[in-house]
Amino acid sequence: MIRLGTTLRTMPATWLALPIWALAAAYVNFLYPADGYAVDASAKATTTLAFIAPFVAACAAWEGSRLGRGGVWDFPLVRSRLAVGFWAVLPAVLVGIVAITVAIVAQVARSDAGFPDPRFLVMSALDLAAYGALGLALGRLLPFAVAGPVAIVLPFLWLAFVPAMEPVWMRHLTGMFRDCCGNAQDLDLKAALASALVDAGIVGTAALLVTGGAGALRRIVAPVAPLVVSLAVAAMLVSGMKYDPAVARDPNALECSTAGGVTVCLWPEHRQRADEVAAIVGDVHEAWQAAGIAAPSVYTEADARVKPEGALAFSFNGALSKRDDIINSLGYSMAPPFRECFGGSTGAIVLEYLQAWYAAAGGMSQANLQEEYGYEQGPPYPEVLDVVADLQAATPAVRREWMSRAARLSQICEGLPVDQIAVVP
Amino acid sequence: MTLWLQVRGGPVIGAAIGLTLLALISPAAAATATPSPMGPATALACILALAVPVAVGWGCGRGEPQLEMVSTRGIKWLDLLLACGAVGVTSAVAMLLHKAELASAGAIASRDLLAYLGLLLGAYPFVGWRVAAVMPAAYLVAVLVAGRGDDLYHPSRWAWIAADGADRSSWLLTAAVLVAGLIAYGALRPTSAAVDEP
Repeated sequence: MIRLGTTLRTMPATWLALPIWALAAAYVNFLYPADGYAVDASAKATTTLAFIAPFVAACAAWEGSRLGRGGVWDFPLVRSRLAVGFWAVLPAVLVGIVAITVAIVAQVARSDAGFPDPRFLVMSALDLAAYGALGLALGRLLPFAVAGPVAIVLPFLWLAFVPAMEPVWMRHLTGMFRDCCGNAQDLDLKAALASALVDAGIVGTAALLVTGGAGALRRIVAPVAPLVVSLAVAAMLVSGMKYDPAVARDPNALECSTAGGVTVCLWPEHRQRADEVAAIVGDVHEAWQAAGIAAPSVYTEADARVKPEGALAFSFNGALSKRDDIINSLGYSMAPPFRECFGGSTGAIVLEYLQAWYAAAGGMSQANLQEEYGYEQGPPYPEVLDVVADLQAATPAVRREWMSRAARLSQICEGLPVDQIAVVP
Repeated sequence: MTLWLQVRGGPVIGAAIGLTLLALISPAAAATATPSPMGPATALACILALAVPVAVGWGCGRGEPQLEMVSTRGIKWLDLLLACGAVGVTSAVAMLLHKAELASAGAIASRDLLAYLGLLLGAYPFVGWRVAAVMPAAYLVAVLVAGRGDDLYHPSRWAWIAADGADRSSWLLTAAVLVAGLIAYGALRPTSAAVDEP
């Protein structure tokens, strides 16, 4: 173990610790605060890995390079080279772990989300250990003038450019979970496991690279094996996943209230607005029934995949959503789901008419209707608000026929009969 | 002279130039990504442009600084010639490839090569070649992480290397950094940290 005094005197990681911690705390101010949900806030804060990981890798590369320049690596050592490398890199990794902890705590605090989710701290610590090992290997194998820039750019490319590539599930291998999780979601452990596997692969490869013996097999083939195997297994775990590494959140956490035959279930993060939201939902329910819309009696914030049969899943932002936003969200949820079609769906445009109608019928103000749906469609499509006005003037029977027809049209992949969007009196 | 070029790793620097230009010709060089919520859309060419300045920093750092300080030949000026020659040639060819419509991100790489050279030369008197080579990479990551300006496609002024190749003010800033780097290299006496590097 290296003495603290020596660590403080000689290691760039400790010289730069305060600036990197301050940067991590400041950077989260640029992120959107989470909606009071600790999982979301902690996940978003892992975005700071984009610069913390290069910092750790570059500092570790410096230490690896210093072990070589000082001749330490070539001495007959009492301890194994792995142990020497571990103690040399540990301070850089610890500074990085404190930085990511600062970022997560700051983001959780500004999101008013209680306590950080420890899973993201553990995942980030594993990531940083892997980048530390990678930096050490680069510093041992390459001159620092090359190892330094490579150690800075390589983690950045991995963390920042891989998530920009297709297929989208590749981002779940990187250990950055910025696409997790809305209030109705929780971290998918498959993504966490895949990321941990890749980290283990990087550490294994780095360890074999710095301790590699003579011969092409031991110097090149063997070190690459852990990384290739871990990448392959991790890819099998996450292949086919969507861009968010999320599963539905346990609906048992929902808090439900019933009034006037309408049940409203909200997440605990929205407890402060429960009465207000229940009243809004009750008003919308009543307005929909009066308009001839078959309104459900259960409204829930649960993920659509786990909501009770017949319930309407909706969402809103506890801090930002106003009455009309909640009505619009309910209207959005009442419309049928978007149908994924190869080459795009021509019928999906009808969803906008349905959403606008449900929002208008639910009591959304004229001004916000205009702002949300008042854009010009242009020929051959009728204007959305013209169709809504026609529906408001129509009888309940005509409305029901239109809603049924529009729902059917919205699921058409090709060849939408545009003339059928209009209301037929 | 031959020995000097050999010590400086001439063939490796030549290979870095060749590989950079080859990579710029590939369509992937123009691919852009937005790597951070506060970063600008950045072409891969910005990263490719690092290779030659890093190779130059590595090559110039291979000498024996204390010995070269008292050599009869002006090694410092030969190193400057090598740095400007290698980066300048790459930058010029990248721009020619861009003009010939063979490398759509050639102008970006051409400008960024010169900016990185300015940073490399400016850092040398303070930290030596070995650490100076890290400066362009550190600056690049700072730009990619936090360099967004008005929108995704307009980086902040300080992050001009992510701007479009046709952005005139980005070329002016590049010229300013290059001139500052040349002045620092020529006028400042290297610190002991720069000279003592083994």
